[in-house]
Amino acid sequence: MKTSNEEALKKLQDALNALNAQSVSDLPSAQLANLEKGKAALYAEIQALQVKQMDERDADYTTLTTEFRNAKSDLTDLSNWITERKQQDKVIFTILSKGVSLALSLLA
Amino acid sequence: MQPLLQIAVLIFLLVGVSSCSVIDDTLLTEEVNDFSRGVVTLSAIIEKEFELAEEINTLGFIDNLQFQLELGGHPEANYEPLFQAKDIAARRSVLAALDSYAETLAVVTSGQSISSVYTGLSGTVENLKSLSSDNFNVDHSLSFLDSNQLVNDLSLFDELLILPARDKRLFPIVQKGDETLKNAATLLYFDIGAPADQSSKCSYTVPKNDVGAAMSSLRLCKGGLRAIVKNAIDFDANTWNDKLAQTTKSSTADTSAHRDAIKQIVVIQKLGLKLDKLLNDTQMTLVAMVAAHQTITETLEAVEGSQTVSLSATLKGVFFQEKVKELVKSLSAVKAEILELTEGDAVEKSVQKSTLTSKNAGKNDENQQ
Repeated sequence: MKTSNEEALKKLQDALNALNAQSVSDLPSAQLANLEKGKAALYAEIQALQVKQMDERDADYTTLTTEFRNAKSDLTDLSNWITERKQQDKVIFTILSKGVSLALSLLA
Repeated sequence: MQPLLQIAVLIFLLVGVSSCSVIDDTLLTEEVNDFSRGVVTLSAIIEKEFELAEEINTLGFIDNLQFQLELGGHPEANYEPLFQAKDIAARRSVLAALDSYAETLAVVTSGQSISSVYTGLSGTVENLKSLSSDNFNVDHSLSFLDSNQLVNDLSLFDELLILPARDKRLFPIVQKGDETLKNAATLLYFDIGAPADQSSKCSYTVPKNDVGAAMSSLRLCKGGLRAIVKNAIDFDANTWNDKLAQTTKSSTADTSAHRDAIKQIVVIQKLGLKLDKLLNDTQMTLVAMVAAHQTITETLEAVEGSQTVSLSATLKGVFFQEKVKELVKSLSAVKAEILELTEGDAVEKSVQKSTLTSKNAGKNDENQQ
């Protein structure tokens, strides 16, 4: 199903808010680096959408920035790491998981 | 001129214009010249504000990039500016048209020949004809039709510059200029935008804004330059928050790195508040500019009809001048803070980088699963 520009902007903002809400003190440096890269990519995409005048708010969304397109593998790595941690029944990164899933849904 | 003295002079002007209908009155000339200078200063401030947004974006990019490197990550190092050259050019066209119009008023009031400056002035408004609403960031709060109408009406600036060649009087120019100036101000007002929704309708549509109504009645949804700046400030503050969390979790956390991170979070957020206030004040100054222009029209109408102008109307010109002066001061303060942040930052970061890198090197493996 296609996503409109307006819906995409909302999803991107929700995703970034979720990533920002996650406490990072339990994250190892490698995952934190992935997270920071993901945040930077989401931020760049949000700003690109904000700057761009959306002639049609309902028009289909396509990714605008290279940063966000390239962030897919880092976000996937982060998602896999969260899944592994969940299986080990250790710290469950619920908010982080939500943010990463939202971001990945736009890159599918 | 001091505000009180200015008010006294304007009261004197009112008495003067009600009994004397000559247009080259020195005090009226001064009022128009003040207005003209105010418009030129305001447009320069708006142009600078777009540059400041870019600087904040750069600061956030560098801080995040550096943090990723400190964590041993592989960041995207290609910096993309917020605004493309065409985005900035579109704003410059509108601001140049405002400048040209203000300059025309000053030239006509002084009694100089408009033909001597017309070629230069008309060149600046030529670009307006090629503008479209997608050159601006107004869709957050305006319908497509209203946005287009607002941008299309800007081409009327060209007609205003032609008028003095036919009619050397100021009155017909300002009379026709009222609406065009207001359209330009409204477009810039929307383009500067809002950091948060001002209407409950924002979650599903644009608010029902009547661009012909008083500018104070406009309700905006989140968007425009203020939202872009807020995103940039939040992004940088969040990077520093994460950095703080990273330094805190280490049992041997360096207290100075810790303190610097806290300081940076506070400083960037305070800067964000000041910058947003500057942008909001700019919007209010655009409103004041429109009111001041209407006052000039009313004054000239009164001259034509041998009537008097109310004191409250006359004070709008003074109010506009005062708002512009305040903006100049605020802009200067914000610029100084950004400079301090970016320059002071470089020293702090080099210290922090070495501290964090040495700590994270050991921490990295320890935390990996």
